[in-house]
Amino acid sequence: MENIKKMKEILTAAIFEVFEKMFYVFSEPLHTNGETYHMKSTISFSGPFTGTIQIFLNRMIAETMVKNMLGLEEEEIDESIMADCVKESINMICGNFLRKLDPERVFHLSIPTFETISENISQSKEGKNEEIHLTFASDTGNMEVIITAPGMMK
Amino acid sequence: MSFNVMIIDDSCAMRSVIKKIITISGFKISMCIEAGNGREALEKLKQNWVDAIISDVNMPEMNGLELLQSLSQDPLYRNIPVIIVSTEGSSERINEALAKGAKGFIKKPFLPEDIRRVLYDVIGVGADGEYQEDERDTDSSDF
Repeated sequence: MENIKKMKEILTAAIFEVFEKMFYVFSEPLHTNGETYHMKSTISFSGPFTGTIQIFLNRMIAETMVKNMLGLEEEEIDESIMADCVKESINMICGNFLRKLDPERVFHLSIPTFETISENISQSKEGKNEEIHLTFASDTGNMEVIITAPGMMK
Repeated sequence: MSFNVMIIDDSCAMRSVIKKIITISGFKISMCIEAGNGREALEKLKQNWVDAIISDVNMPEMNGLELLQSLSQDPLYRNIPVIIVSTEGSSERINEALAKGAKGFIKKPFLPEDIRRVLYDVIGVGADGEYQEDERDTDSSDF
């Protein structure tokens, strides 16, 4: 239980750092769930521990990320650039999280994948022991990050 | 003094951000060449001379560490300074990159100042275009 608490704190810090430094998006933890998201990106990691991290976002927050990161206007934003930014966000969250967790050891990260979706992930996956769910609210929408890493949570 | 720079990252968005930071920092760029992975970078290097390379690590086809290895084995390219910009920032990974010839290492997420400082440190040319070896802050790298 202590280990899970520590992981939540580290993952939250990693998410805040990525969103604030790279996307100028400021968020706060949200203790409710049930949001419907429009896209997700997944990355796997291996090394001293193995696992996956997924990020789920609604369209508005993804558009804000693109606008803030690249200085684009709304009409210049298309699906491919949005996918690119979302994949880069999960790549940075994963690397930053693992670096904070264990700065000495090397982890291997996969190339992130991206999917458009329309599902309520919180309700469908909640309750699994080997996952940590973190939900965040920002001015332009909500996002959720799920880490699945059985070996790290023992 | 102006120079050519190559930015290598599989994320088009990340390449754009780095390019924008370099430009607004006042570095005089003659040409900015972009590549999506190490293999594409090597192809583009055959047609263009560059003064500095900024490369990601985690990329498809040829990653940044494999690119460093290739560059170090080629007499034509081995002296081009390479700055690694990566999410993977363990001390072991940084040491591996340095051993393969990297001259700087920036961890993602970064601030614009991080790119500016390391680029300045590695190429020895300030935003005003003047060579400033004596004024370089040797303690400013992220190693």
